[in-house]
Amino acid sequence: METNKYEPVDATPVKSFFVEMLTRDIDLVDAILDLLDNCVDGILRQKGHSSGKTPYEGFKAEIMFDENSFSISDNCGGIPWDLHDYAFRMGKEPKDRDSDLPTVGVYGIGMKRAIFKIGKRCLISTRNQEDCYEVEITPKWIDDSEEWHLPVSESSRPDKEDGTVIVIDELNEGIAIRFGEGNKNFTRELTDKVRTHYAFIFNKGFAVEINGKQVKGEPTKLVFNEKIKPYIYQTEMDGVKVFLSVGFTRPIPSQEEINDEQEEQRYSSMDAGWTIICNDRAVLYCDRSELTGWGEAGVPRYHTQFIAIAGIVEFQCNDAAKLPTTTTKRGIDASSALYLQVKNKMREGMKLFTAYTNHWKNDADESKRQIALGDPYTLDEIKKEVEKTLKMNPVKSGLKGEQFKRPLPRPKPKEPTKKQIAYRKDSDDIQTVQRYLFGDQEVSPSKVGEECFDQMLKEAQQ
Amino acid sequence: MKHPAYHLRVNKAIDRFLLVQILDILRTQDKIKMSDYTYYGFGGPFLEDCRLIHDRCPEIQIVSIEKNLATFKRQEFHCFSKKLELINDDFTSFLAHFSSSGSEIFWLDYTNLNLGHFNNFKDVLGKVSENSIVKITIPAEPPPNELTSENREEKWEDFRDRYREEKWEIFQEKYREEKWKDFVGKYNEILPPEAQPTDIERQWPFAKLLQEMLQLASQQALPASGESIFQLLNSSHYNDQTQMLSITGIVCNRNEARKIRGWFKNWRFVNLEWEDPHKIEVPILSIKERLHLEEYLPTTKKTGLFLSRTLGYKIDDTRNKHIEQLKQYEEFYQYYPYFARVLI
Repeated sequence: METNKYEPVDATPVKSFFVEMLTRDIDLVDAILDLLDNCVDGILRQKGHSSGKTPYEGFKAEIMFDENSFSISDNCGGIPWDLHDYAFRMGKEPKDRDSDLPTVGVYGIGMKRAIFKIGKRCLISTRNQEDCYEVEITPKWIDDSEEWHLPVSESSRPDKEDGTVIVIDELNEGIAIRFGEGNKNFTRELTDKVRTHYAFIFNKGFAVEINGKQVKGEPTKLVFNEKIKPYIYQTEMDGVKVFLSVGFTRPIPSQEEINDEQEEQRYSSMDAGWTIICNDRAVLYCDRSELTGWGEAGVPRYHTQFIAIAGIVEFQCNDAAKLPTTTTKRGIDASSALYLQVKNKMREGMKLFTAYTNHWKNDADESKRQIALGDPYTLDEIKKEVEKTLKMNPVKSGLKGEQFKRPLPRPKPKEPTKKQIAYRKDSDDIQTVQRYLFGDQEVSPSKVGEECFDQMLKEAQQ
Repeated sequence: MKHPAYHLRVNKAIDRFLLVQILDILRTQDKIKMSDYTYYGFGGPFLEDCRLIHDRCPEIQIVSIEKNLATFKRQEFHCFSKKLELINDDFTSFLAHFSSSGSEIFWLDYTNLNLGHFNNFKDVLGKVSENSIVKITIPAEPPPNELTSENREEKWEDFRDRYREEKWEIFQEKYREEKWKDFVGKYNEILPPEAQPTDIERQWPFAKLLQEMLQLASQQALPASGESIFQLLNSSHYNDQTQMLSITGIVCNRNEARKIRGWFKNWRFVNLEWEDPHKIEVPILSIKERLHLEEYLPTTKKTGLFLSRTLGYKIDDTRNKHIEQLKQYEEFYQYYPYFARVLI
C-alpha cells in the first residue's frame, strides 16, 4: 500500500490577518461604534433585559482622543472573568453567544478589530463585582506570530463602579492625524454618527460623551395626527420581532421648492430614508438606495420631492446571529431571507407616501396644513398607540403579521369652474413686474402671475 | 437685473483690499511667480474686483463668471483689458469643467446663503493647485425672527390651528425648535457638533458658526489623510447692507504650512488659527473730516482716543461706539476709498 507523501497542511491563523487584514474591512468611526456596542451589551448582561422606558438610565460611555492616544471608559458592568474567553479570543464559538439577551455581538471580533485599527499598544482595565483585572496588548505581542496568550494582571485602577477602560496609544499611521486637534471634521463625523445611530438608545437613557461634550440625538419622529398617520407593520419570525413604520417627518416640498433645489442645493436630506435598528442599535441610517427598496418594484428612486418620507424598521432578537446585519454591524445583509420579506412591507408602506407626495405636489400648501397638525411621534410613541388605540389588521399573504394601513387624504377632483393658467415670460420682464407690484420683496414668479390676474380681475369687475 | 451699489460700499472695499494685501505678501516670496496665477471671480456689472486685481497685479489673468445674460452683456460693455476673460455660465457648471492649469485665486462672492455655496467652496479647494488663494464671502445674517415681524399674527394663528394651543411661551419655544430643525436640515453635513439654537439667533454667534462651518467644509474637501490643507489667512465680518463673513486662505502642502504661516505671521489682519473674525466697521466720514484726521495718522496705539480728542465731537450716538468707529478708521484708513461726484 502506498503511503501518503503529503503532510497535513498548517491552517492555523496568522496574527497579521487579524491585525492588518480584518481592520481594512471597517471604517474608523464604525470601529469606535463597535466599542460603544460592547458598552451597551455590557449593560444588558448586567441588567438581564432591555425592557421599560429607560432601561439604560445612569449608564454612560466617555470617549477621549487626541493625536497621541484614544480611550473609552464606561460604567456598563465590566467584563466578568467568566467571559474572558469571549472578550479576548479572536472570534468566538457559537456556544459562547449570549443566548437570552438582545446583544449585538456575534463574531467576537469587534473590540479587538477596533483596537488594532486604532493603535499598537492597548491596556484594557475592567472591573466586574469581585473581578478587577487588566489585559495589555503590546507591539511586541502583535509582532510575535507564535504567541497567542495575553498576560492578565490584577488591576491597579481604583475604579469605583463596575465598568471597563480601554486606553490605546502608539496610534497607527493616519489615525493620529485624524484624531489631531486641528481636524475638527473627525470629531464632527464621529459625533454625527453616534448622534444618528444611538439616538434610539439615548432616548432610553444611555449617554455618550466625546472629548468632554455630551452627544445629543433626536430619534426620527413621524407625523401622527387625525389626517395623516404612518403605515405600521409588525411580525415575529423565527424568534426575531419586527416592527416597521413609515410616514412623513415634515411637510412635503412644493413644486417650486423642488425646482429651486435642482438649481441650488438647499437641503442635505438629513432625515429622509430608512433607518434600520437591530437590538436598539441603528445599523443603517436614513438610507435612500435600492438596499431599502427605493427605485425598485414600483417605488420611485429617491428624489428631493420625497425629502419628507422616512421609515424605521426595528429587529429584536436574543440571538444576534439571526439579525440581518453584516459583520461590521453597520450594514444590512441584503441577502437575508427575513430582510428580503420585510423589505416587501417597507416598499408597500413607502408607496403610500410617495403616491401622496405626487398627488399633493401641486397643492403643497393644503398638504402642509394636513401634515403640520400636532407633534410628530417617536417609534416608542407609535408602539404605544398600536397597543392602545390603533386597530391592526392581519396580513394573510407573504410574510404574515399585522398592519395598520390607513388611506391618506386625496385632493378633491378639480372643480370644472376652475382652470389653471400657466405661461412662460422673459425673466427680466417678470422681474420688472415683480418690482412694480411688490417692490424689493422676494416673491416667486407664480405669485407675480397670480397678483397680475387678481388686479386685472378687480379692474374688470369694476 | 437689480444690483446693489457694490462700488460705493466702504467695508466691502476694505475686504477687497485685504485680498490685495495677501497677494502683495505672496508676491515677495521667492517661490511665487504672480504671472502663473489666474483670478476667478463673479465680477458683477462693473467688474470692481477684477479691476482692482488688474490694477494691483497686472500680470495676472482674470476670469469673470456670470450666469445672468443681461449682466454678462453689461460686463462686456465694461471690459477693460485683454487680460480679462468673460464667461457666461453658472458657477457650478463652470466648476464641473474647470481643471487647474497653474495657480489660482478664487473669490466666491455670494449674496445669499445656501448649502450649494459650501459645496462649491469644497469643490474649488479640491481642484486648485498648491499655493492657490481661495476667498469666500457669504451673508452672515441669522435666519429672520418672524415673531418680531409683521407676520407675527399670521404665524401665531397658524400655530393655534396646528397645536390647539393658546400659550404664547409654548408657541415661542416651538417656533425656535422648528427654526433650528430647519437650519440643521439644511446644513447638517457641515454643522459642528456643539452648534446650538442660540447660535442662529444673533449676528455675532451666527458669523462665528458660519466660520466653523467653512472650516469643517475645508477639512472635508482636504481630509487629514491627504497632502494638501487649507491654511486660513484672514477672516472678516462686516456690514455690507447685510452682515457678511469673508474668509481667505491658501491651499498648500501640509509640509509647507509652517513656512507659509511664517510669510503672513506679521500681517496685521492675519488669522491663522480660525480665531474670531476681524470686524470691519469703518465710519462714514466726509472728505473734510478724513483729511483732518489723516494729518494725525498713523497713531502708535490705535485706540481711537487720540482721534476723538482731535475731532472734538461725537460721530455716533454713544461714546463707546464713537471711539470704536474711530479706532476702526485708524486701522483701515489706508484702504478706505474716496468717493466723489464727477461731472462728465
